[in-house]
Amino acid sequence: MQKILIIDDEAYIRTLLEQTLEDLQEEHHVTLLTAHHGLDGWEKALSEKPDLVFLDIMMPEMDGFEVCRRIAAETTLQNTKVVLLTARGQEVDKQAGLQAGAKEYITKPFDPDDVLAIARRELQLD
Amino acid sequence: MPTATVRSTKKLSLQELSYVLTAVLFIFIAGISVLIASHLKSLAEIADYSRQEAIPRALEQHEIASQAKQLGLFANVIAESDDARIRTATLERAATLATTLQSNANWALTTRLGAIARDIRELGEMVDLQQQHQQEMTAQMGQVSSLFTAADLILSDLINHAAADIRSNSFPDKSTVEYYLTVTRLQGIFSQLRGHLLMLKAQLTEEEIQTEESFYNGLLLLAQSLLESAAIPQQQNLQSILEDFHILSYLFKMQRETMLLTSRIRYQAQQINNHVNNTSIDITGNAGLIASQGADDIAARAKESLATALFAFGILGIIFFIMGIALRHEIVKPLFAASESLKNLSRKESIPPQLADTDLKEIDEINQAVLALSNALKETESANERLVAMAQMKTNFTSSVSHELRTPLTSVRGFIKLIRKDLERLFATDLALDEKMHGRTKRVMANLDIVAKESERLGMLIDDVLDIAKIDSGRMSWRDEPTDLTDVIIRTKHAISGEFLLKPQVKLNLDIAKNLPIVLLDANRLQQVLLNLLNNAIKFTPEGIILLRCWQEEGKIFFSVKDNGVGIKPEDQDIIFEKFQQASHNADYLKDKPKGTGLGLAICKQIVEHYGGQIKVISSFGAGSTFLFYIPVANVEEILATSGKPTS
Repeated sequence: MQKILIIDDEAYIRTLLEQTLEDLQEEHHVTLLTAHHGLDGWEKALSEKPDLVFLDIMMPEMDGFEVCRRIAAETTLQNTKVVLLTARGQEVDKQAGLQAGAKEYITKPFDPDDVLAIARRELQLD
Repeated sequence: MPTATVRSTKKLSLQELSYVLTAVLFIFIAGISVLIASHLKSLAEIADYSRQEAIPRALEQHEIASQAKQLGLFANVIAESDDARIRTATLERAATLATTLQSNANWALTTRLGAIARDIRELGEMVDLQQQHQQEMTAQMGQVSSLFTAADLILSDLINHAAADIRSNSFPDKSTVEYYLTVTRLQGIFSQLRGHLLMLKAQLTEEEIQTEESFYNGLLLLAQSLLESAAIPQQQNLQSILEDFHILSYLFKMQRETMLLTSRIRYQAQQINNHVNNTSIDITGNAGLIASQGADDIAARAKESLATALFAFGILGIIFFIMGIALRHEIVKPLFAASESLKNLSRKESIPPQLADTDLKEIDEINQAVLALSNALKETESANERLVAMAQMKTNFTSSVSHELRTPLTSVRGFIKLIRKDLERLFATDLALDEKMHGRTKRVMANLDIVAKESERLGMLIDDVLDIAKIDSGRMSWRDEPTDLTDVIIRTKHAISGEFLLKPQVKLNLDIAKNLPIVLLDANRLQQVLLNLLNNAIKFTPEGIILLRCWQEEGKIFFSVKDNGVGIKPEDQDIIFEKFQQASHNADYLKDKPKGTGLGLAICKQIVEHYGGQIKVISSFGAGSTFLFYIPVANVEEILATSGKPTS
């Protein structure tokens, strides 16, 4: 059973993503997990070994780049794909994120359909 | 941080001090120069005197000394010559020379030369006397020789008679024999006397004269006793001759006087030579004195000059030494400290200026300037730090604002979509909806569409505001990459296709030139400009054609967006590229006020000008507008051959 971990300090964004991805939960039995700051997200990533992570950048405790670097460096999370959520004004963040090991990025405000498409593609679901 | 300060006391002016020192040194050097010049002048005068008088006089004295030596030679000639004429001539020459020398000599030498001349005359007299003695002796010896001859004749005759008597008589008698023997002995004595007489012509010593005199006297006594003891013929004649032989004592006396004269002459000549030598030495010495007097004066004056020069240089040396110390303390050390401080400031090292105190006004002003510069730099650094902090705050603010504005917008747009989806599902499955509910449902969906559009517009507004904020702060990031301009235009058309779908009465045409170059620029920013211009064109064109063109001309890449919309008033054409300015709403053509922040064209202008280009509008109010901009190819580095893509 595949897992998706959503790490964002904004509750509404977490809810938005959960509702956006709930079709996958119903259709493909994908488990949705959430974390409300970087450190919590890192700990959950270690314990749950998600297949896909949607990761915000600006968060307390630990920012998204650090979480991304740790996931990329962790041997037990080699199959975990990270998608960064960036604000449009942070072009340099995209480059930094890709260098930190992120698979993809989407800019806020994003279209929920785009999020769903990315999840289907990365988890290789129809 | 407390700044270094220099104690504030009354300072000397370096300029005034330099004038004073220059004047003092000038006066001092001038004085010393005058003094040394006067010394040198007197040296020259002494040298001239030496050259013109002293040395000639010295040479003259030297000549006198050489000539004085001649007097000695003359004295030797007089003493040794047997020729009276030579002696006389030499004596005259000596006298003449002595007189001449006396006239050229000084008083002391005149006296001595006079004494020498007198000695020479005395020498001449002695030599004359000696000659007289010798002549007299010669005469006397001639007389004596005659006596000897006479006696010899007599005695020879007597001897012959006696010999004849003896030969004629076989048995001569005793008296005849004694007579014969006596006469023979007398002849022998006279012969000896005659022989020794020659001795008197020689130069005899006193002892030899005494010996000869004794010998003569002894012989004469013997002869006398023989004559008296024997009776011989001619006895009286012989007796008379014998008495005449007493002249011999006179000869001996004369011999003694001659010998004495000879000694005196030798002594006199020697004395004269000694006097001449001494006089000559004295004259030479006098010449040397005369010559050396000038040299001594020159040496003395040269020593004075040297002493004066050494004193002057010594004083100068002390002055310069003191000046050197003062220079080092008051100028060099403070300037070096100021230089080091300036170097530290130029290297931006945070070392407080270490300045050296000085009593000179100008150097103190340099110190004050260095301090002021240091303080100004500190303030500039502080201001810089504040600016950097502010810029960082601005960046953080922009990033934070970007994040904080977009996050709720994400929620709004995302949930709108989810609500719409859920409503579609909800109302699609509910077949029992009546017409009124259906209508209400449609209105809800339409309202959701409005909310979605407005949230999208809000997103665009936020993007514009953040873009302009970044451009203003110089923090816009430019990702210049090899860009196919045709691709950018095609993508732009696709990106804006939705707007044209919503307004089907407006069409978009493309006119893209072939062989456009691949250039290095940020494709997203170029697309942003084209999207802004096309969005404006759609907004302000109720219906018609919008033409997007791209071509290359005269080293520039041109883009134009032409519409046949409402146009822009002339007074608005100047301000529409400024921030937060919009063209005035033409209600004749447009029902709704076009929506926008007034930043789109300002952003376009900033992007175009970033690449060295220009943007302008050509418009007639009510007849459409053409927005035209170019980018110089040289500024965007044509890197590949042209793309050769189709025009539309």
